Amino acid sequence: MIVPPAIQDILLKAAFAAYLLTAACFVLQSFMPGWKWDAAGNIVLRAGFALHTMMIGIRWFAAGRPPFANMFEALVLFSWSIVCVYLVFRFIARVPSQLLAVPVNILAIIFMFIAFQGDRAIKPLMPALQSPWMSVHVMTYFLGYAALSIAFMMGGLYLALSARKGIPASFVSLIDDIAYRLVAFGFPFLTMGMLTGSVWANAAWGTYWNWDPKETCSLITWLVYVIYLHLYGFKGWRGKRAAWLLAAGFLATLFTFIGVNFILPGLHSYGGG
Amino acid sequence: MKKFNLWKWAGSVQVAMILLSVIALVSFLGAWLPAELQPVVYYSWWFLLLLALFSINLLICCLSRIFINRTKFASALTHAAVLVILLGSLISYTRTQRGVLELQQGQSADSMLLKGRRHLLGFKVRLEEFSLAWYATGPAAYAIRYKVQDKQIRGALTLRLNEDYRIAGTPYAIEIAEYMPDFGLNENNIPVNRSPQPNNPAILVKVKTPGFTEGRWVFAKHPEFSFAKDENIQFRFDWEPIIREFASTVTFLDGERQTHTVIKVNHPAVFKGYTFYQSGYDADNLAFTSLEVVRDPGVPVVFCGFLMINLGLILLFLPKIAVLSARKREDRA
Repeated sequence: MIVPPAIQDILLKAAFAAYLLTAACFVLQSFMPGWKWDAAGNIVLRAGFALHTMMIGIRWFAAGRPPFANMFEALVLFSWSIVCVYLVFRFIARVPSQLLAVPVNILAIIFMFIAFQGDRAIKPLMPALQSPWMSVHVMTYFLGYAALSIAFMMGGLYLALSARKGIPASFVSLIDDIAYRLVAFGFPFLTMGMLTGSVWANAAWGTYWNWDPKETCSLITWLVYVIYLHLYGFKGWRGKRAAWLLAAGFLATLFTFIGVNFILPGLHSYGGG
Repeated sequence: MKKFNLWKWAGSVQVAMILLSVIALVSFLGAWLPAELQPVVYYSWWFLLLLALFSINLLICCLSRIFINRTKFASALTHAAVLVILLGSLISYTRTQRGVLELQQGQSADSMLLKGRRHLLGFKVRLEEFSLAWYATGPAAYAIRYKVQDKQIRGALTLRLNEDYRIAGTPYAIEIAEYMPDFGLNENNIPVNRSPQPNNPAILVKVKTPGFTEGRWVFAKHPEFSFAKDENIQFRFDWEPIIREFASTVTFLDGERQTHTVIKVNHPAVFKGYTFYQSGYDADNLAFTSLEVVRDPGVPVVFCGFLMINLGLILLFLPKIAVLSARKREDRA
């Protein structure tokens, strides 16, 4: 069966449209609270996620390899991971959905918009990337990155709300709590992503750690979250200080994921462009 | 005044955070150095000392935790895992043998080159065959460069098949009429494609001037080669085929025992404690291969640490995500 490439494009644009529609529903909620815009928005978000999943599946099938190899594919997958983590985390953690849905929606739209700027051609994989470890390494990392990005958004929300008067303290501390639990969700995935990368490097290059700039930056990112978890857990760092740490972690994550490819040369440089 | 407790201080979270911050900062600064200078930082005595101090801190932290509170098993497992990983790294750092083995087809060797010296392996390795394969897919569009002598005009462009392009300021229009991945000539000197492998990629450029059209083959790998009728206009075809796979078929000879295996990137071969990685080849001599040979006794220890840390983190954090603290707080309110 041959799937025309245009189908991928249509599915991706439809998913993007669904995410925009979700955003519209959330905006309408604040203007017309009478109608259940929120619930509608959550349904449209799920529909968008289904289309997004189909697009990735079809591209995987068409390319005959996991579609995680260039910046376009990585950003499409990242945007997908964010919505995926939201749906799973909401289910496990049972937190009020609206609090999370809005930041998730914003992140999904931003990253998919950046993806549209990339080169969409399917390119074959060079030998070093042909490994079953690729899908495990990329998937675990992206689920981790996604959870930590949402945690960063919650940190931002905390900083924005705590500065305003008239917002109940219990509500603000709930945001802090959700951010922590998102890190608790994302950190094991971040660790698995780094370690599966290490196992893969050992299979491909004969060394599990080489102080390659991408490896070094991933370790630094990991350490920032180690520091966050310890200061939160043992030193009572809550609220503002914790939120700023999350921002530092997010910056480190972005730099590791995208920045390194353009600034620092190394073994991972094929991931760029 | 509280009495200063060295044991408690040495295993404290505070010390751990300071050490980790310094390690993170040094690692970050090191990443900006040129690649050949990076080992100077990451394998320097003071960087290793930092890691050693952190190990001591972690060890004390683990010990005090196990003895104080048995319920914190998951936490101790996670932290012990980091220690196991660091221990494995120390074994790797001190005990790894990493050498190079270069072979010609049919040649066998009983040693590798290790830090400039011959190191006996205790068995022989023979290269049966080296093979290099490219992806058969041609370029989606053809990148060409042109030069028009009399007008001193140069340019580069990307054209699709059968797409016309007029070179402004000259009488020329060009079109790419055909692509052959493996150009050859048959007995009648007619161009034929010999295989789908991009061994000799070539494009047929039609050079159109008013009243005359010339078809000219341009070769990616042999830019100097040209059957031009009109020497005034010249072309280059830029296309680097993407390598799909390179592999060495080798035989390990250990006394009477013979073991055949294929070594590819991402598929190393293990023989008697040595791991053989496909590391390089010579594009001008495809009967040659370069293998990296590694014996690293730290690897199993490090990987054991990886398993421990993953298990520990799941045990540690899964309950924390699922705790219905938010719900409870709402209920109480």
